[in-house]
Amino acid sequence: MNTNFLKFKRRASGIRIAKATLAGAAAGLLLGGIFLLLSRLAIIGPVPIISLPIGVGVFLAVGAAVYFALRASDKSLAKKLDDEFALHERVQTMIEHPDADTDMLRLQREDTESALSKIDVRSLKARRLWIYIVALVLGICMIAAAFIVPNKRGMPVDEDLPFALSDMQRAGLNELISHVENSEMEDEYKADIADELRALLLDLEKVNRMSGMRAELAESMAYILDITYESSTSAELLNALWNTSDVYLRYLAKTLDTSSWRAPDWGDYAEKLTEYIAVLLDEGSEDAEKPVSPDEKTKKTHLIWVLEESARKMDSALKASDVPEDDELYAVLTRLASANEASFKGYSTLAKNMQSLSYDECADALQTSIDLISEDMYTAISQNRNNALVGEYAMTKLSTLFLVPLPEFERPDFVKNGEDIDDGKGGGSSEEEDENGPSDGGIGEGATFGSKDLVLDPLTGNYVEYGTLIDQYHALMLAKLENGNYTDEQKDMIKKYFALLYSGIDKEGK
Amino acid sequence: MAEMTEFNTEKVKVFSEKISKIKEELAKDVVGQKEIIDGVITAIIAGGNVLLEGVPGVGKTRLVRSLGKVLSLPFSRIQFTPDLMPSDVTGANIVEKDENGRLETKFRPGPIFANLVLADEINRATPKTQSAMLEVMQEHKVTVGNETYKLDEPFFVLATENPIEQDGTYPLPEAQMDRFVFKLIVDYPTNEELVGIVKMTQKTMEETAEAVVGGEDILEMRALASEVPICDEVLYYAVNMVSNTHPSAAECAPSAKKYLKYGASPRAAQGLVTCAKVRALMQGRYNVSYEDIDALAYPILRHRIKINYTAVNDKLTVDDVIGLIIKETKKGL
Repeated sequence: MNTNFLKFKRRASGIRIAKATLAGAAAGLLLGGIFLLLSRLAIIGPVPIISLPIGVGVFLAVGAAVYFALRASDKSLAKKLDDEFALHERVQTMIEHPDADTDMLRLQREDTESALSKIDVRSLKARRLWIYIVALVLGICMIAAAFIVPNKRGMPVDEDLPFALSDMQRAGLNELISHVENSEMEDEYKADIADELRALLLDLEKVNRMSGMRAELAESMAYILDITYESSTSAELLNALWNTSDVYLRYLAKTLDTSSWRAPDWGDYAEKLTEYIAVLLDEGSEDAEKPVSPDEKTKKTHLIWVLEESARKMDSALKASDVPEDDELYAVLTRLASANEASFKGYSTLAKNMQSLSYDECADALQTSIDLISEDMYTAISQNRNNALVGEYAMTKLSTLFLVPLPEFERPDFVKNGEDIDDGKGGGSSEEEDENGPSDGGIGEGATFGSKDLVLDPLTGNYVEYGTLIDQYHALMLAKLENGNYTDEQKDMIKKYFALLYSGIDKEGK
Repeated sequence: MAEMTEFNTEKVKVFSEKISKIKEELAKDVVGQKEIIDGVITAIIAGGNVLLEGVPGVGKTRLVRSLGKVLSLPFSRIQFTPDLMPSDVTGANIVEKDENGRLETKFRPGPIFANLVLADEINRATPKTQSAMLEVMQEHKVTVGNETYKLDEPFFVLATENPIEQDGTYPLPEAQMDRFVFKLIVDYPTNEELVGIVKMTQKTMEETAEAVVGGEDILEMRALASEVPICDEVLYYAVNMVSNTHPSAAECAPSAKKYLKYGASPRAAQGLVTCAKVRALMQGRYNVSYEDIDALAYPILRHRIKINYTAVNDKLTVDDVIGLIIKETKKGL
């Protein structure tokens, strides 16, 4: 009974399922896509992956809702068939008399079934299906758009905020200029840096966007960095000595390396030069070549040879470096070499009596000649160091005042060759360095300090405990963030950076 | 079941054949007027009376006379005039001498005692005479004195009206109008039809149609038609259509509110459904459709509703208003 009507009923049910699926998919894609888009644009908090369960949930909910909303009774389907296929209410009449208990009703049923059998069940079309398809396409487009847009989550928001030079920044710059001018940097270099800072001040008065400020700062810091490189030649010269592979020159280079100094005073330096002399006299270094059974004469001959060789090698090494000959340290090193040589080549008053001097007297003579130039050596080394420190201080101060990153600065270090100056083979820290603390690799290169280790405070130019310095910076940072116009992303990044710095401090206070 | 189905199929087949034969025979005497013939046949099978309105000479009387021949029904014609008395229609008791010479009262039946009655120009009769028709048309019986005389079935009144000559006429009262299931408008024939009429009547003015069905056949056809099912949707549609004609009703068609003085009675709904069943069967269907209701709305309603001056002002006829009501009723589907 009603076979043909049941066929149409199944067809209608299939159409309903298709519409419900399309509607659910469209809604799920649309809403999930919107969620994904907002999440990727960092407009909303939750992570993008949450759009998946949301999309699936919406698909199921909307699909079910549409399925039930489109649910049609037999009566409504009968009406639809009568209307669409001009059956003159045959189907509706048949549905109303399911029992067909009279002849006329049975006739009517047969007539209806006959009429339905002549109609292709596929003629029953899904009305307004295009609306569902369009909605699905919109949903797909939304998902595609969500994936196409750049993922801004985790990225700092780059907003070109307005900028105006504050009184604090202006005062800080003027203070920096004064500091540079009054510093112990060589005059020609500090004049260059001071002029650059004055020009920077004038330029910043005119700038009104953060991007402009950053550009001016980058330019000035790059210039100061060049001056710093130019004015601090010690590493280059010491590298030249190191590259000779001469154990004595290498020891000299290590001695003159200021990066291992903690207290820039004469005592420490003098102690190191004494060690150098001891090396020269074959008493300090285990790597030095020693005669098998040295008698006095042999020892003296060996010493003369060492000094001559060192002088010769130092001379060629210094000439091979890019440092100009009028560099103070270059000149002092050259004097050291020639002084040493001169002491034993008969160019000094002491040399005339060389043959008659005992080994011990030769050693004394060496000590005397080194003593004569040691102060000049110290002056040259210190000047070099001061140049570097002032340059670094200026860049650090600018970075702190304007909260801009420091330029990539790599302090020239003669361990760059990869050889350890302690064992003469490679780079890395020596036992002595470990005792004194690790060497810093330059500004911006995070070395791990103990909280009690002394570091340069760029704000004052003095050495302070690292822990104290970090605390000062932290306090300064918090004040800036409180009062400054920064986005949440930027604040978060800065706070995380300081957290890392704190985590690098050895809590045992090493 | 198969046997019963075959039986009823046969019945339906016979029904269709008889309808075709009736139409064929009528076509011998009446040229054109297909809608009028269909309407008249539908009304007869449904058991209703018909009011034919048309100008003189369009074949109203001829149609009824031919119909009487075709249906083999005793036919009588009543020519209504202003002086016609009720007893002239129903009959009266008269005093007669019997064979023994004694005086006795005897009932002499009037022309109403027939199966098919032609009430010609019914609007010319006086209201008193018109009301005499009321009982007959509704109940198919006559009461004279204390006696009630039942009329033979099928009983059918076909009345005619002349819409032109209004002088000296008495418009049919509403109660009597309601007893006609259909009011059919007989239009002036087309030129082709007129040519056919002239050619036919040149040969003879007499009706040449022959009898093809009898009274019993009509009753059987009526019984068969009554079995045709109607679904609730269509039934409600028919009822709503009649309800929508009442301007005083809370939910009526806007056109009814605007253009009608009063609407149709419940007899309209009854007639609509009954006649729709007949029409469906005549069309070869076994159920009533919206199309049947729409088609029959005009003859069912046009004499039962009255348009107001707004409709006259807007130059709308009764049929125009019925058309509007049909549209408005369809919107509610």
